[in-house]
Amino acid sequence: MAERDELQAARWDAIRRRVGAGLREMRGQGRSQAQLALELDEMGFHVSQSMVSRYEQGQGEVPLSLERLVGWALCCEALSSEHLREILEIAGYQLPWTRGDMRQFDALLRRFRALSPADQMTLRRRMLWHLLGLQPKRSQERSA
Amino acid sequence: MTRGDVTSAIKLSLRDRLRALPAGGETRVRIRRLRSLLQEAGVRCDDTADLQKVDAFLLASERGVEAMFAAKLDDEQRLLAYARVVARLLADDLQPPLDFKAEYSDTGAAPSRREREDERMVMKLAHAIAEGELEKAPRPIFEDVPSFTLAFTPRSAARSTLGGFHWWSGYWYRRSTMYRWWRSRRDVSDAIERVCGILGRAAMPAA
Repeated sequence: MAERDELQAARWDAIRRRVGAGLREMRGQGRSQAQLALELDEMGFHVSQSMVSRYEQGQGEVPLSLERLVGWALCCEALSSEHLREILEIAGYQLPWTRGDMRQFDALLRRFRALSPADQMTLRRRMLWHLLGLQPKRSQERSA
Repeated sequence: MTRGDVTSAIKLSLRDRLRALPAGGETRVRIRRLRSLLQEAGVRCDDTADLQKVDAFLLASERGVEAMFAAKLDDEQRLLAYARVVARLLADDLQPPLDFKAEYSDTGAAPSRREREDERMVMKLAHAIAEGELEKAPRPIFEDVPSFTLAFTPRSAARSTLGGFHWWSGYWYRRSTMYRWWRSRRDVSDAIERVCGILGRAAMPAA
């Protein structure tokens, strides 16, 4: 293993339990692991229910990217939660949005809960781009 | 860049270009015109969105403005969806730092009473835009008009009266279905044009 990879792995080992606890709190009681896995998968993240479970228990082997962390919070309508703020901080990520902005984003997501799942998914994918400035991958690239 | 710059700049650009947009032609040509209008104003357009109960989404943030249109729409529906997005940008407010608006397939599907009222106004305006008949909607939506102010001279009184009429028209266009119906009648829009012409001439400085 290259030195840089070892460093990253050691760093992830040190924080993954705290990250897992935060992820679990963000999901909350009202959303099952299976439902979250499905929503994350539809956003293009290739996440299974067992992966959701492993990450929540702090057993995920690969560090979660910023895109996945924010995608997780987006699906849980927990962008303004203290848990996401803590996770991003310990993972060394920073978003250019204030707490007030994040609260507004959660309110927007709640406002459009009545939309069909497909419509909400389209919205979330595009919202992720606006939050991170990352272009979502097309379906062919995602399945590659 | 300050917050809110994105949509206000787009609004100004749309207003300027919309007044010069040719009317008529085949549906596909009119769709292309509105798409170009949006793109030239800086709105990214995607015609391939997998949307079910919504004809179009409009998203705006400091990263830009984008409009997504349902892939399932036929030409007539797509023309109206484009016109609704243009109308939404012109007549509605998108709040910074990020906001989105849904153009529902069923116009009564918006979650709140206020949104349903906005939706009806946007729909009426969209029909005027799609048909190229901007005179059937209040002028303040498309151009700068005099404002309603204190008046001390006959000229400023004429300007202020004109501004008052525009304010009144814009106010009721947003709130009253009856007024929107009335305002979109050809004889009414002609009469309003004549009144605006008379007051506008009275408000102009003598040559």
